[in-house]
Formats: sequence, C-alpha cells, structure tokens
Amino acid sequence: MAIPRLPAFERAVASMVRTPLAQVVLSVAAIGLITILMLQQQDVIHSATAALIYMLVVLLSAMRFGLHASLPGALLASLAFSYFFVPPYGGFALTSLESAVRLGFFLSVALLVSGLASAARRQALIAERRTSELSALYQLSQALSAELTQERIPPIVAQMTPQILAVPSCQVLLAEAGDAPPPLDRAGEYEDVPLYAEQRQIGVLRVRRPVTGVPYNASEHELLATIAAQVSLVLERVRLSEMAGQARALAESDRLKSTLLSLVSHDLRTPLAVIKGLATSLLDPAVLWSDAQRRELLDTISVETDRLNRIVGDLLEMSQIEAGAIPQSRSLHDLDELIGTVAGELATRHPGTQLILAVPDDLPWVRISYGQIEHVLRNLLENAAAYAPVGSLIEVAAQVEGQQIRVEVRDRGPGVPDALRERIFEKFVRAAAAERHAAGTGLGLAICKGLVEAHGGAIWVEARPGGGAVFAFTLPVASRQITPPRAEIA
Amino acid sequence: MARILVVDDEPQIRRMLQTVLSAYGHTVAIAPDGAAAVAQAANWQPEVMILDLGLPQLDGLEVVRQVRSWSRVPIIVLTVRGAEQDKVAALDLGADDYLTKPFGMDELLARLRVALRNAAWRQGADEPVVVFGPLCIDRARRRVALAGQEVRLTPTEYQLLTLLAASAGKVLTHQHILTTIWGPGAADDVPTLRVFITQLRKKIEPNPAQPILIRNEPGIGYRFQAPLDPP
Repeated sequence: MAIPRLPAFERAVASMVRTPLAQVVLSVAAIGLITILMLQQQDVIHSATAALIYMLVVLLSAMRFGLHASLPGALLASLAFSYFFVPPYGGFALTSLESAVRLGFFLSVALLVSGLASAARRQALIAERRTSELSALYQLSQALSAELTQERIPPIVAQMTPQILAVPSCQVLLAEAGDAPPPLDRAGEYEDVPLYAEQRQIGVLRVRRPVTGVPYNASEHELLATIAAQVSLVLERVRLSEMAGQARALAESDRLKSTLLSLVSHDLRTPLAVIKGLATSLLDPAVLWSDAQRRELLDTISVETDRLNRIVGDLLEMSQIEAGAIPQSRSLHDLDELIGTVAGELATRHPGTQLILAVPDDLPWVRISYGQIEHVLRNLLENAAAYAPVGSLIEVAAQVEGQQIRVEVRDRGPGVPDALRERIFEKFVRAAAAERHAAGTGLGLAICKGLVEAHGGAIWVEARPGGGAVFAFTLPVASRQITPPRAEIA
Repeated sequence: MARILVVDDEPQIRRMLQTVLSAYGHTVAIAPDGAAAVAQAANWQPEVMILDLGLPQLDGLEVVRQVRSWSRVPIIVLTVRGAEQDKVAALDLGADDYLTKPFGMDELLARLRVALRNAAWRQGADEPVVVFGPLCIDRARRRVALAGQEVRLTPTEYQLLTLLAASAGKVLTHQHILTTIWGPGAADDVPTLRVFITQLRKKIEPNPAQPILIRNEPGIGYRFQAPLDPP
C-alpha cells in the first residue's frame, strides 16, 4: 500500500478501539450510520435488502469486537429494522402476529450470527496467542540450548519469560551443589514452579503475581509449567555436560600424572644411573684408569649432568607455564641481535651444522622477555639440528607481517607427519625420534608454545616444500617504536 | 692467591667449592646464610664473594645491598634457570657477575680471574688516565686514544665509555646504563643503547664485529672487559 500513513494517529485509534466501551459505542454507531444511509436510499432498499445489510454489520462487529459489542448492535438493528423497514414504516406494529414473528426471527438470527462470529473470533485469538506463545517458547529453548554453563541460564530465562507470559518479574533460583533447594514462596507474592534435574528439585522458577495472593489462572500456570519443564531439561543437560567435562579433565590429569611418573622414573633415572655408575667406577681402587679413559668417563658424567639439568629445567618451566606464573619482565629488544646470539651458540655447540640467517636489519622492535624468546628459538634450533641430517642446511628467517614479526626455522629433516602437526605442541608428544634424539622430554615444544603465547604470539609447524619442517612463530610488533637517535657530532 | 667467601645454604655446594677452590690455592671461608655472610664480609675482608641468591631468611639480594653499602668487594652471584629477574636485580644492586647453576668449575674459575683482575683495575680507577690494552682514557683532558691515535667521541659516547670503564669487568644491566646516562624515563630503551654501543664499538674496538672490550651479555647488558694478558 503506497498510501501515506499516520502511525501515531493509527496507534491512538487502535488503542482506543481496544477498550470494550468504545467497541460497544462503535458497534452501535455503525448500526445508526447504516440506518441513516439506508433511509436516504429508501426507494431502492427494500425490507429484505435492509435485513441482509443489518445482518452484515452485526456480523462484522461480532467478528471484529466480540459478543459484548455485537449484542447491543444486534438489538438496535432489530429495533431499527422493525421501525423503519417493516410496514407501517416509521412505527412499531407489533399488533399483527406476522410482524411480531418477523421481529423475533430477525432478533434471533442477529443474536445467532453474533454468537457464531464472536466464537470464531475468540478461537482465532486463542490460536494466535498459542502461536505466539509457542514461538516465544521456541525462542527460549533456542536461546537456552546454546548455553553450556549453568550460570548463564537464569539471566536468559528472566529476560525471556516476560515475553511469553505477561509477568511483572521473573527469576530463577538455583541451589548450590549439595544445598537444599530454595523454599517455595508461601506468602502468595510469587507464583513458584519447582525446577528438577536428575529427579531432584534443584531450584525454583519464581514469577511475581500481578496481585499478591491471586494465583495465575490454569492456562497461564500451564504455560509457566511448560517453561519450567524446559528450563529443567536444559539445567539437567548442562549439569551432565559439566560432570562429563570434569570427568574428562580428571582422566586427562591422570594420564598426565602417569606420563610424568614414567618420565621421572625413566628420563631422570637414566642420566642418574650413568652418573652414579661412572663415579663409582672412578672411585673403585681396583681399577687403574688411564688418563684418556678417566677423561672420557668424566666427560660422559658432565654430559649426563647437562641432560639432567635440562629435564629438571623443562619440568620447572612447564609447571610455571601451566600455573600461569611465567615471570614477565619485558623490555624493547631487537630480534636481529637475539637471533644472531642464539645462532652463534648453536654453531659453537654443533660445529657440523650449516646455518643460514635471513634477517633484515631494520626489523621493528618487539617487547619481550629476552630470556624466554631466546629459549624458544634455541629450542627450535636444537630440534632442527637434532632431526636434520648432519651437514644439511638450517635456515633462520625473520620478516614483518602486518603487526607481527614472523620467525621461521627451516630444516631438511624428516618433517612432522600431518597427523602430528596440531598435537606436536602438546606435552609429552614427540615425533618418532631419530636415535640420537632420544633424550628429549617431550616438553620442549609445549614450553615454546606457552612462552610464545604468553607474549601474544602464535607458534605452528608447516611442511617444507622439498622436504623438511618449518617451525614458525610470531611476536607482536611493539606499539612504541624508538626512532634511532640522531647522530651526534664529535 | 685470593681470599674467597663462599655463601650457600646447601652443604654439598659449600663442600664442593671449598674443596675445589682450595685445591687451586685459594683461601676459602664459608657462610651458610645471609647474616653470617654479611658478618664474614665485614670481619674477614674477602677479595671475592661467591653468593647464592636463594638463601633462607636474609636473602641474597639483601646481602648484596648490605655489603655494597660499605664494600666494593667483587660479588659473583649464583642463580638457577628461571630466576632471571633476581639475577638482574642483583646486578642492579651492585653484584659484579653471575653464574647459572649448574655450572662447570672451569667457568667459575674464569669468572673469579676476571673479578680479581678487574678489582685490581678498579683500584687504580681514580687515576685520571686508565689504560685497557690498546685503549687509553684520559679523563682529566676528556681524551680517548686507541693504539696512540686519538679517537673522537660524541659526549654521549664518552659518557657511555667512562661509565663502562669505571666498572670494568662488571656486568652492567641495560637498565642501569640507560637510567645513568639517559635518565629513568629511558630504562626500557634497549634499542637506543644498542645503537650507541654499536657506534662506540666502531670507534674503539680493533674489530667491531668481534668486540673484545665491550662484551654483550645477551638479554642482560654489557660488560667492559680489559683485554686478557697474554697467557
């Protein structure tokens, strides 16, 4: 419809028309109006036509407003019909039996039509309300089904219930685990419907009554019970899923504990056994060691001690990461320097390794804890050196990508199988170890992940075209960049 | 040989250090806790102090603070991995050097030699002219010469060099250098410091790519080191 509308006026009329008295007035006025119109056209309007037109108006007002408005209309219509359209025109002639029967007949039909029409209207209204209740209930269940924690449910119910049922306020009271459910209201201020989960009452759906002491009627109460049943179902589901989650976490921590135990018993004991064995051999007065032999044994002791130290350090670091207790003293640093230092150390430790650095010298600064990022890079480089074939090239590259610096360590080792790529950063997950790399704790990459993420970066592994692995991590570029100081004149 | 005070609460470490250091001809005294350490430092006047930071009660940092309030004895602190902040705090309080446990004895002996040699340097630090190998700093005339050739330094570079040289052998943290020269607001600007160190190295190091005078202490700071005497 392209006709301009006056929304405010329309709304005002619509709300006025909704009061019963106004409807009665409108219905009666309609009869009056139609009577005047028909009287003006009396030449063409005959008694039968008038009866049909009156019937139509009564029918319309019954459909539109209901019985209370159409009844006075019907009465007025039958009187007007008898008075104006039945001979003698302009007066009542109830003297003849026929006219009395006609009036009675007209009245009965008008009443019957009113009744039928208004009943149909009532049914339509009820159906409409049911539909809207159902759709509101559906919305409630939709909103609730997305929720996974018990805490989030009461606010949603409190917000949505008034959309389903006209209630002044609504709240959901839940008992803490192990506590008795909240008591039902006896003062009559509220309508309380109990909520159940696992056959126990765990809470109350509480809606305020419009008038204290006056309960909601049967259909309203039924609706409340439906809401309560739905909330109960959701609560039960959430509780079960929380319990399942706890059980999973327990199982997981059990698995971790046993892994840790086996780690402690095996990985820690191995170097200890070697150290103890060698030291006691050296102490044994029965053996006469040559200087070269003695050196070799002592060298092994020293290597095993380093290994032990690394394991203990890793365990400590991992526990700090897991407890969220990573020391955070950060300052601005240049990754260029850090990469150079770590690469230099690696070259000293593994003289056979071929390292190529591709690091631009104008990288922006990063705000990092130097020791932690150094640890990450050292770990990745040590891994690369351990897994890659002796003499193959290891590349370290850094570049700016938007607000991040991306550092990559690329090797020509066996690479990381697809299936492991996500999990390799988890604790105690290791790629199939080359023999010479059996010494790892399975914590190194988990620590790298923890440290990089604590800096707001990400770490991942990719397959390298042509074979090998690319371990990459990102660090956010510091928000404050220092412009290089101006050169002073000597 | 030197008088060395070893402070550690672990009897095994004390025993080990005492045995080894004595074998190298040093005189060793031991203190099991912070209070004893402070008392020994005052009464026995050690030439070097080896101090574990993780002491019960009076902790290592507090020992550094108290000893530094009257003594310039070189202090080498022992830390464990993961205690980086304590290490930096100890250096800022005036400790000279650090070692991370577990350490090789060769490493400890090297640090001891450096500490002793630089303590000797610092004895003469009040002299207007100090010489480190080829480098000569004349503070009376604000002149620096490398192998007899005068080196022109900017005011900041000169300030930086004299600060480092006055603490020869000591690890100076980035923060310490930055706040001393640029003020407390610059404590964080490691990159600025790096730019100046690079400039300074170009002027005073025989080979700036492999510095021997101004050494990096990655992630911690710098150490000015007198070139080793020929062995």
